[in-house]
This record gives sequence, structure tokens and C-alpha cells, in this order.
Amino acid sequence: MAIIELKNIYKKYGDQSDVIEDFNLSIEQGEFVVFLGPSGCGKSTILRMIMGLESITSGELKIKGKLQNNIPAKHRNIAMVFQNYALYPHMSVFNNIAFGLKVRKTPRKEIKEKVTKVADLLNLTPYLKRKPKNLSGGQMQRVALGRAMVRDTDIFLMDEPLSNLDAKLRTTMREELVQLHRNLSATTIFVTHDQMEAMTMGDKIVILDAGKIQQVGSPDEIYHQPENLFVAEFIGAKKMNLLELTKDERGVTYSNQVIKLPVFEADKEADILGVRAEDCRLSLTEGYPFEITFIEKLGSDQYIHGISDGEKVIVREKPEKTFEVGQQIYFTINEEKIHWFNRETGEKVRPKNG
Amino acid sequence: MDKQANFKQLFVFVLIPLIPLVIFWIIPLIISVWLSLTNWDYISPTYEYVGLDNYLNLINNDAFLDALNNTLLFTVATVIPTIVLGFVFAVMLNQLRKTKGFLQGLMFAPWITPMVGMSIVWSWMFNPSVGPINQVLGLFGLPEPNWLSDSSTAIWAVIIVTVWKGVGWAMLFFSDALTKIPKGLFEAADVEGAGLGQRIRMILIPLVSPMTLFLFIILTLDALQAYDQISILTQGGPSGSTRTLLYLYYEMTFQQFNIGAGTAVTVLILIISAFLAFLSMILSKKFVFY
Repeated sequence: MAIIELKNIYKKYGDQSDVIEDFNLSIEQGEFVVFLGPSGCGKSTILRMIMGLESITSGELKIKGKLQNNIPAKHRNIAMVFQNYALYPHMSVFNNIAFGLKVRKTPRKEIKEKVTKVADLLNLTPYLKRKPKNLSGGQMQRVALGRAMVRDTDIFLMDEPLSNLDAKLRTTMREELVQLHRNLSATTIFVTHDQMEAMTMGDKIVILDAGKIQQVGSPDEIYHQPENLFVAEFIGAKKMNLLELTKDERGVTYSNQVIKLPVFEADKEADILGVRAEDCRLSLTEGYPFEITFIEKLGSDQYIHGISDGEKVIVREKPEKTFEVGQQIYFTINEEKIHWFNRETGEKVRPKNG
Repeated sequence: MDKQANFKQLFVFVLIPLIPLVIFWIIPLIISVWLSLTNWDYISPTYEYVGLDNYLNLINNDAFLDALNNTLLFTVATVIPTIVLGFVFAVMLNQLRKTKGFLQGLMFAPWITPMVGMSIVWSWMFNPSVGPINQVLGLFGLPEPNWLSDSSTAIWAVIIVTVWKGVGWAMLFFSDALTKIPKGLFEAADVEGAGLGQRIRMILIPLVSPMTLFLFIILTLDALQAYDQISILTQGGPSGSTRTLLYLYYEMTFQQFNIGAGTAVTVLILIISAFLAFLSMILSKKFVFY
């Protein structure tokens, strides 16, 4: 059953153009959904609309089947973790975690029990009496998390909760959050601009750009089957190589070599060839021309950056091969791993029966 | 070398600024304490040392005890309403967008207007026959007191003027403190289900508490030193009902030329101020969040 349903959601500030345009999504019970997109794509706005901190201009938001558009945040019974944690500076860790319970007039004994349990789970027990200013970033992050967990709710919203942590702590917290999600089996919406976070944590990733959904899918799906040029370029440690194809009397060509096109469904045309760095190989003798401009060694692999017929191309190679900047060689493409796109629409073009 | 430079710095930055402080504050303070132990009359070239007589006389003097009483009433009844109303107005104006600046300016205006001028306007406002206050009260069928000439209402009239002057000032300080509270804290409280009352009680008030303490200290010292409005509105009367300690000091020193008794009053005012400052420091540890 869908626990959160968003239907034709629009958001507009004053007379400006839409910040969110026709947003449709349904989220299942217990899913870990990641909203991923560049800054200003509207991902936080949607999260805040689900929470009730932003009004919905038009469209329907349903939680557990009930329309929420006009229900104030405090009655939605959703927990939220803020990017800057929003801890109350004048309260101890204990009181910060207990705030929501106190506000709801929970009996003292119950508050103590619940807070102790959550603090234990998050390794915060030694710090319960401290004020936020005496905590490290990771500890503050856990307090913010504890404040959400102590609430009697099964929906968690997280607005870039890891972005203020250093790289190492971020990796650890990523694992802890996934673990926690498994234990609590609460529905979680996680907003981030970091694709590594999205790929490693999400069951379902929603990619947004300019207020519109670009693609919804599992991490594998969005990596291996990008629906459009934006997703192809946005996802992946290295953006996908996109080669512009030209048409002449011989057919479709790239770098003066004829490219064999598959038959596309519904007479659509493809004029961009997309291929990931790991699906290309460098060769000394055959393929498309390639001039090495930069070599990026990562230990386990190396990425060779180059220019081919005016286009930037990146090829992943094994670390033991040696190349030199300025070398004029060739690269080949694994034909089974090609993605076809139409430049005008930006959409993927699918081969018939494939 | 270093020591010389240090001495030069000490001289320029500490000793020079200390000169006016010593001449105009510390020396007069010491002289005042000395004078309070004498019976000087302001004119005679000679005077005698009388020990603590001035203080003992004050304690047995009804005028002094009344003035002490008036001072405490005046202080409590101006400081608390000024802080409470200043806070309430700050919270209310903080919700506005377009008219906020204008209304803040309007409310702050009394603070920059000289007290003497305002007191003259207010003495007309309080006038029982032509004053607008009683005309309005009359419209609603409420009692119309003889504000400034009745010994039971005169001090309240002075208190109203003082609070009216201070509220805009306190409001401006609170407004500044409010804008410094991160918006996220209110959103977090909203998410956790806190209503307006709970948000004000559990977040707003604790977070502006350093400002509250600051205003409390400044307004208290201000109240202890209130002179202008009393001088214009009531001259300490009727029958001493608005005579505060400072006004008593003024009367004793510059009307009765009893310097010894007058300075004894100021020394007591100083002791009261010091005691209140000390008290607020102790209270601040308990109630103020930094």
C-alpha cells in the first residue's frame, strides 16, 4: 500500500514560474526513498511540502490515504531531521530528544524510558547532560536523529542530514542510517545532492532537475538505464560519454566512420550516442581517434581523459597499462552497452525489441 | 624593550582613559562618602564630622522610608511591564513584513524624545478637565481620577509615562534578539507538535533571556535614577507620594542644603544598585541561557 502519495503537485512563489511542476510519486510502506538532484532543483521544497512547512500550490498530498494539504505540520505526525540539525541550544541532549514528547504531555516516566532507549541505540548515553555546543558534528547529527526516532511515527524525512559532516564520518553515518532503517523499517525520505549517498542508501532514487522528476528507479536502473541526457550525465562517478552523431549520404557517422544504428521503436531518431567510461577501451590501432589530455589514477583503476573529434571522452582502463598525455591513439566502444538519445527532446531512444 | 613597549601601551590604552573616570567618578564618589559623614550645609566654610548620624537619622525619618517605598514600587512597576510589553510587541511586530519598520520606528520615537518635553505633554494628557485620558475614560463610564493631584494615583501616572517611554526601546532590543534565533528551531518545534504557547515558553523566552537580563539591569538602574519625569509632572508630590530616593536627595541637597543627609541618600542608592546588580548576576546563572 502506498503510504505517501503525491499527485500533480505544483509549487509557485508569488508570480514566479513553477518551482515544482507536476510532481507525481507514490512511496510504499518501509521504503528508503532518496530525492537526488543539483542545488535548487526543488528536492527540499517537496520534502518541506510533505512535512507541512511549505504550502502546496496545487495538487494532492495523501498520507496513509488521507488528504494532508491543509493539515498543519504539527498534526501530520511525521519526524524530520534538518540539515543544520536545528537543536535547541539552551537544552541538554536529553531535553532536546525529549522535546516532542514533552510537548505532547507524555508522562515523565515514559519520556525517561524512551529517551534512554534511543540514546542507548545511538551511543549518546554519556552525553545526555551536555548542551549542543559541547558536541561534535557527528554527535549533534545523532541527537537530531534521536529526536526524530523517539517520536511515535513511522515516517522520517531527512533534509541532507549528512552534508555537514566530514567525509569519513559521512561514510560511517551512511551505514548506520541504512542499518537503522532496516531495524525500524520506517518509511524514509532522504534528500541529498550527493549521488554516492543516493546510490548506497536508497531503495528507490528520485532524480530531480528544475522542479521536475527526471527518473525514478533503483540505483541499478538509474545507472544502467538512464531515461534521458540529464540522468546520464548526472549519475556515475564519471559522467557518461556523449558523442554527437552526424548524418551524411553514407548514413549516420561519428568521426567520419559509419555507425550501425539499431531499428528504433516508433520511428524515433537518435543523434547522440552515450557510453560509460568502463564500456570503452583504448587501442593503439583501431577505433575512433583519441588524444590524451589528462590521466587520473585512482589506484584500482585509471581514468584516461581525452579529446575525440572535438568531444571530451573519458575511458576507464586497468591500472597496469601506461599512457602518456599528448599520445594520439584510438578508443573503441562495447556495442552492447550503447545508450541512444535524441538531442532535441533529451530523451532516451529505445531500439525495437531491446 | 618589551617592558617599555608594554608600559607605553598600558599608559595610552588604560591610564589615559582612566583620568576622566578618576576625576569625575571615583574622586566624587569618595568625597560623597566623606560628605555623608559630615554636617556641611553647602555654604559654610567649616563643617564637622558627625559619624553615622546622617544614616541613623534617615532610617528614623518617615520621608526617607516613604521615598524608599516609592522607589521600590516605581522600579518594580516600571521594569516588569516595560520588559513584558516590549517582548510582546517585539513578537507581534516580528510577524509583520511591510509595516514592521514603520511601526518599530513609531514605537521607538518616545525614547529619542526628551523626557522633559514628553512630561509636559503628558501633564496635559493627565489634566482632569481638558486631558484626553479622562475624556476617554469618561466615554466608557469609567472613574476619572485626578491623576497628578491625587496622592494615590500620582505615582501611577509617572509609572505610565515611564513605561510608555521605555517599551519601544525594549521592543527594539527584543526584536533584534528574535531575528537572531534561527528559523529552523521554530520549524523543528512545529514538526514536533509544539503549539504557539509552547514555542514561546520553551524556545523564545529562554533564547532571548540574555537580552532580558540586559534590559532588566539597564531599566532597573534607569528607574532608580528617574528624575526628569518626576520633576516635571509632580515635583515629588502630592504630599511626597512620588518622592523617590533620588528626588529626596535632590530636595535635601539643593533645596534644604543639607549636604550630609543628601549624600547619605546617594550612598544608599549606590548600595541598593550594587545589591541589585549582584542579585541579577546570581539569578542569571539560573535563568539565563548563553
